Amino acid sequence: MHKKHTPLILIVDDNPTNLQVLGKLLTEKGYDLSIAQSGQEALSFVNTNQPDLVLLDIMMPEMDGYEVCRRLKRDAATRHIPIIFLTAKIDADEVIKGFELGAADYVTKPFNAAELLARINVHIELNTLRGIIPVCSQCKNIRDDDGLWNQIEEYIESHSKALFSHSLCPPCMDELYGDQQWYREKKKET
Amino acid sequence: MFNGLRTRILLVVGSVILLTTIGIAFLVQREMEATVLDSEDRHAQYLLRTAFLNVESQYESLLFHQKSTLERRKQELKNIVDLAHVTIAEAYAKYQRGELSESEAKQQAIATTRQYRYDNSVGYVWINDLGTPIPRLIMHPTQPELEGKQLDDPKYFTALGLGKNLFVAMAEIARARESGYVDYLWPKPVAGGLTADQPKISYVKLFKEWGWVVGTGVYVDDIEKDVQSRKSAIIDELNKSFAKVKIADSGYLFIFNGAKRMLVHPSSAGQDMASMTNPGTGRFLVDEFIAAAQTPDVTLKYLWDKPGYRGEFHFEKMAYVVHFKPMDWYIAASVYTDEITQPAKALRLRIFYLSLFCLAAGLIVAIILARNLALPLQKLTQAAIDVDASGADEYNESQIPISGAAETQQLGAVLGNMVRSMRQAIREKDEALFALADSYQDLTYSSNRLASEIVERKQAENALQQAHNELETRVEERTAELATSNSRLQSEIEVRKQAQLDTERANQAKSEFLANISHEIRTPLNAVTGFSALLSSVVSDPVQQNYLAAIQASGKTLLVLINDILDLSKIEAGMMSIHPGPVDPRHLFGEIMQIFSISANGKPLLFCIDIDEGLPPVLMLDEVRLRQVLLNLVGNAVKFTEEGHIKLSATQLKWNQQQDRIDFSICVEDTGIGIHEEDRARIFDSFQQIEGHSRNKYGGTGLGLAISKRLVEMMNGEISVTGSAEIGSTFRIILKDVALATPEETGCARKSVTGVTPHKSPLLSEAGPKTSLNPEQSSPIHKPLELLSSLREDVLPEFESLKGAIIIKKVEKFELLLTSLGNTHDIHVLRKYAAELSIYRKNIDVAAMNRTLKEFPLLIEQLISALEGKHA
Repeated sequence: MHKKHTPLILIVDDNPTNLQVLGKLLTEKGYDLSIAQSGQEALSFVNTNQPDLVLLDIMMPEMDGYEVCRRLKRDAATRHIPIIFLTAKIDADEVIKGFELGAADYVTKPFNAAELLARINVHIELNTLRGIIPVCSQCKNIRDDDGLWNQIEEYIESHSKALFSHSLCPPCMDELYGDQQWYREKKKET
Repeated sequence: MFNGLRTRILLVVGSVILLTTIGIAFLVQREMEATVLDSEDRHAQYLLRTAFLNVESQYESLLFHQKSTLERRKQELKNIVDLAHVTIAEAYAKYQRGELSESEAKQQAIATTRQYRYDNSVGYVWINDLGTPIPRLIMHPTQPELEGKQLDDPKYFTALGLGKNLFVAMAEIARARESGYVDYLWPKPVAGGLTADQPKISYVKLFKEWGWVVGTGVYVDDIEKDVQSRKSAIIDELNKSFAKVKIADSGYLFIFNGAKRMLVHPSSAGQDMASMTNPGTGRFLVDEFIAAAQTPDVTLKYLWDKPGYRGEFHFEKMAYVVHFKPMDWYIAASVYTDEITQPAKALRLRIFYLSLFCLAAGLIVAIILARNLALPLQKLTQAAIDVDASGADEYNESQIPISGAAETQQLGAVLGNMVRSMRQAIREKDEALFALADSYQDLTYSSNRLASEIVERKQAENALQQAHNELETRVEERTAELATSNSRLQSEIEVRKQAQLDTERANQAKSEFLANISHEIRTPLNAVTGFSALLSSVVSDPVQQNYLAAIQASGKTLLVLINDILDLSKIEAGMMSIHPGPVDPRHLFGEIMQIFSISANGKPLLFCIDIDEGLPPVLMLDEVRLRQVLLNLVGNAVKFTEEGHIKLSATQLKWNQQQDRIDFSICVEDTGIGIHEEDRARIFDSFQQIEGHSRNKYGGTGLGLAISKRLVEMMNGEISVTGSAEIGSTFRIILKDVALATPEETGCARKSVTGVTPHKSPLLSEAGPKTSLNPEQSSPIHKPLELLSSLREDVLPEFESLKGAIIIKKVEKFELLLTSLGNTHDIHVLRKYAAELSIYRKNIDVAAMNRTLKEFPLLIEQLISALEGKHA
């Protein structure tokens, strides 16, 4: 069985206490975690890593969360990463500004743990099985991020919540068992 | 007006029918009219064609009759000539048999043939010869005067109409074919003389023996007459049969000939047509007919009169004309145009009436339908208006009519349900309103009570606030006082700190200078000692050998001095650090004893070791530094003791059970020259040696004790000296809070010690293999060099990659690397560091993680320099 992909979440906040609270919460839920303490750090992290989701504080010194979001959405390589704003602001204009910049969602501080986890889960699942999947045109195997070729059902099971149950479709049955006596009799009956 | 459902249905049905009717009238009718006209037209042409075929067959029979009559006549002629020929042949036979002479035979033949008459004695036979150029007549019954004469009368030359003599032509036929027919013109004998030339046909036959041409002719003018009489019989018959044919109501067939005479016509047969004109065009009608026959596609139209309206030439007629060439007859069919279009007109009218009927019927059906559909809806609407007017709570929903189509009935039922639920809702609303009014009263009462309570509380609060304010001003005053004294204190601290800092900086600068310069000195010194050693092997002169020995000894002394200076300066510059590891003191003491059994060679000295049995077998100490201190102290003891004993002892002083730490002391006791009371305070300073003893005698740099003191202090210990001059001295080291090694570390330390020789042990006691994890990997592989390279090549790059955002997984990986390296090379500090980082990571304590990571470069630097120092 292929190893299940553990989602990587980048938290961006200048306040260590916030980071600790969020980080504990997320690691306990089994997410991989990265922590950036400034916008600049977050951007350089995203240059070399592909987080599945970014939790982004708005109020930060030097570069604020809006600017980080704007830059992430401007770059084609990072545009697809869902961003959830963490904000103490509950001003509707600010929230709208966040969405206009391309944020997927926003959560106000102090946040409710269950709500935050639910939102994160939704956006990570929304993002599974998106984008371009390299597939072998002959055997239909799929290449994963590590460069290994997986059978399509393995890949989908490890990248989504879907499960497979295997059976045979009539044309394949014909091809497999067409020359078998029992099969022909059974087919004749039905 | 058009909003009513009924009106709309009527409008829809009416307009559908109207549109259909108009469509039929204007499109279908036109098409049908054309079809009817076309069929009438075809009918007329068909009749014309039939008439043409009739005339043609009549003509054929006429021709046949003419031909058969002629044939019969010709056969008759042939029979007569054959008879005459037989007669002549009998006469000739008689002459042949000799019954008659030739001329007699001829005479008899001529006489007999002359008698031959037929056709009421009009017909006869003649004989002429084949004489050239013009034959002579031999016998002719009606013109005997010409017998024997040449037939050159001019009339014989015109009979054939060819300018050729008739008899010459006959003679030519007889000569060429023996018999044949000739057509020509000849006067006919009638009662009272001869007629003008009449057509005649003759048959001639040659009697070869005598060269006679026998011939007879017959007039055929009667055949022509017969044909003419038959022709008029045909015309009569056509007149009769054409009279029966009617095209449309009063159209008819007629025939005229090329001579513009009307032959067959219901009313004007036999008339001359040449003068008739077409009132429409003003041209001769007959010319137009003839022209029309040349172009059968074009229908000729002209104006003519009509039976019942004779003489009124204003009825349009259409004529179809064909030309029968053999008789030069023109056969025509003419019809009145209005009669042809009549059926189409009738049809149009019928369709129009039918449409009107359909329109009326449709409208009636629509009216009934609309009534049927709209009435129940109107009733429903009225019911809804009633509900609105009387209010839903007053209206009885059983009055709502449920009738009409299924949908309308459903609508009625729904309306009833709505009225019912509205009534219920109104009732509930009323009840709720009453309940609301009640609770509002309760609320007003309790809010009044609350208001009075609030006023009371407010007053109490104000009093409290006042007291609080007073307290606050007092606190502020005291705070201000405190602040001023505090700031004074602060500034003083600053000044002192600055002073201390300056001192430290100066000291450090000195140490750094010393460290650098010592290194620079060591390099040339190496050359001095190295080359002098080389030189001593080539020099043999004892004096020179003596000099070289002095150079080498001085070099060695200088080297020791420099090493000591380096150590000291390192310590003072803070570049020396302590790295505790598991150490077995018993083994260490034994090692030192061995070393000194060599250096004390020759001196009558007893070396003894005394270790407290309660002392734990393995302690966490910096073995290298401890060994350095002990070697120094023992070295001094050996140096200053000429005889007696040297004792090395260790005693446990205190055991802190909670933390698993002990305090213990190490003593170096000798029976040497001892130290005077007044010297004891100075001996731990740099470059001090006991006065009164020349350096030459004892050697040394005077730095050993200074270094030892610093090192002991760094190991959290103290060093002191007791004893008296001439009796001996005792140096005592007390080490505090020394950790006990864990069982794992203990085992490791023992194994490492047992596997190596004492001379190599200093480093290996720290760098022993982690046997419990790597039993196969034996110690020689794990040299400090390898650890160094691991630190430089694995750990440092890994650490570099941690910079920037913290990636929890990478931190974990880094911890694992450090732990495994610490385990492999038994470097506790690495394990400890990893454990610490792990706790912070697990807690996601970002601040602590950052702080700890910042400490790492220093740690690694110390580790590397310690390893390098050992290696060197």
